Amino acid sequence: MSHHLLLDDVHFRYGARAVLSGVSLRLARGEVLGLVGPNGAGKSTLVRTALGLARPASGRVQLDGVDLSRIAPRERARRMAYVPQSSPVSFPVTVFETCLLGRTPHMGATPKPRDIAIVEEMLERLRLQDFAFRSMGELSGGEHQRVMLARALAQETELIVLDEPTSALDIGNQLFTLRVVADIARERRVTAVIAIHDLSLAARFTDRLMLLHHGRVEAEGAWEETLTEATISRTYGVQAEIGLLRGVPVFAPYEALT
Amino acid sequence: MTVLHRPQDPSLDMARQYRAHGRRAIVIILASLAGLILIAGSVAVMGIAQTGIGTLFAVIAEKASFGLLTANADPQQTRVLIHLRLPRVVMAIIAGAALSLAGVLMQAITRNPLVSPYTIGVSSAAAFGASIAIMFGVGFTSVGIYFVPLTAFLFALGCATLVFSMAWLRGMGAQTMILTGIALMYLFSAMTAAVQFVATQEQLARVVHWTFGSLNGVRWDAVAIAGVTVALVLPLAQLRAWQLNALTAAGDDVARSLGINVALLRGQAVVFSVVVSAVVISFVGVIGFVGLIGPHVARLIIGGDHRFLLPFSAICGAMLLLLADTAGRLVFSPTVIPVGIVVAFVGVPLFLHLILSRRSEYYA
Repeated sequence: MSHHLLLDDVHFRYGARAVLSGVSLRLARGEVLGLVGPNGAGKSTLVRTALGLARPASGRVQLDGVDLSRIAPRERARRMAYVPQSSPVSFPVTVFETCLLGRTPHMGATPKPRDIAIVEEMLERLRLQDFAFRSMGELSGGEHQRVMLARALAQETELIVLDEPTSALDIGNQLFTLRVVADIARERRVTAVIAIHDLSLAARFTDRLMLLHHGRVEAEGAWEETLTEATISRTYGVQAEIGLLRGVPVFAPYEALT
Repeated sequence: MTVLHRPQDPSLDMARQYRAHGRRAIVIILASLAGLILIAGSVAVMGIAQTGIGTLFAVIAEKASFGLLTANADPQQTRVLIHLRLPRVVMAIIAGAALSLAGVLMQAITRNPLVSPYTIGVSSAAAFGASIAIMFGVGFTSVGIYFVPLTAFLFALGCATLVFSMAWLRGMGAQTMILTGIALMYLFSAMTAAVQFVATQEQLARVVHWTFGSLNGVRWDAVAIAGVTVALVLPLAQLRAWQLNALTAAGDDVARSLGINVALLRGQAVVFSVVVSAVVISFVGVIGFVGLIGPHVARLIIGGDHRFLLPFSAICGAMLLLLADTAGRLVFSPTVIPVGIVVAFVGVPLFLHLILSRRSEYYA
């Protein structure tokens, strides 16, 4: 079977420090993968490698069976989008202008009515229409993060990679935002990789989890198999109670292991 | 909120408001361009030798028609206009536009509102080049009047090449560029000071005068060289306006994920910025601050979309330098204050006012 996104035995190092050591990943079209693991496990590097923003020391990264390095940057940008953990705001730009940037790989010098219509749709979908002409500098952290997601969705790609898309959001907005991502993935058969710290949200909104630890895959599969008391204590160094409340997976860390 | 942005009207759809915003931006650009031309015409006839606006039109008509129309103007007035006032006014516009354009490009690619072409050492390198040309220039008369500007230009390019190579070695990051530039700026300033230390009184006076920046005695050939440079660079920069939007609004990684070759864009913008600023500095000396404040004024009025910001920054810089030079000519007439000094006196209070009044969304 052909994979939509394939990472095969990827190694990555910063100087002498190995960040990824032989990570492999296979995603089918439309699949949503949650990437979990403690700080420094290599999640962000894996995300950047999957997008072609970081070049692995060895190993293959392929989109639909073609090496990422062989796909022209603009073509790549039409097929995969990126939501970073945070992005800098140094100059006054409006929310609408920021979202329009998602149309960059599809447009010429200036946006067409279709580009503007898509941005309008995405801003409404993420309930940002009332902020459309605010300056990005005036937004709260959570609003800012939703704009970043709206921009990536306006890119209309077949693959979207999100790095901590909910880290600045309150619990209501976390549920809302991940619901939007999951819905769009299902409606449009968009493949998604979501690096996320919240284990409950990770288990609930993804088809499959990958648990990273020290740059290696510690466990992979359905959330029940990936996040067990044993794997959580090995990777996070905490004892946690795992349960279901109204069918929602809940993780309660109660003791840090020393 | 910039001056241009209106409060959002919930009864209008977003698309219509976005397009209205673009139309307003174009109107502002055209109106300010018309204003600039009007002001240029008015200040050209102001000065010790009184000339009328009618004389100005007649003289321009005669030159523009290659003598088919005759001006019948007083030859003395004609000479003042053609050889003193007009080159000076036109050079003020070109220099202001060039420095401000260079500033907006540098600020975009470093994502840093405090950066100007001077931050990467271009001006101090040019000042050093000019100083040693003034000191040791005797005997190199084959290039004549171009010797000082040419040396200044070559040093500015040399400095920019150094900054560029360092940044290139480190992956074209913004921080390397700023830090290397600041280091070189101090180095060249120290070397200029060393040159001044051993200079004679007369040489020292010329070096100091050069570092003030002045439009005194600007000639048409300098105007033409600087004008052609700006006319070439502005459209090339304009073609990259949308890419600059992506880089300023979202950062390197997101810009790359949008298909933009960030290292190439940064390289191109540095070259554009260095070339326009170095050409201008070489002819008129170090005129600080326009490259910093021009883009800020423009951004506060028209917003951060570089499709509008690039041309409007050029217009704002031109306006600022023209007004500053006119003030320098007229306020203590017949003494002419170098424009570099006036710009600082006019610019700093304006700049502080902008920071205080717009602080909340802008310098958060």
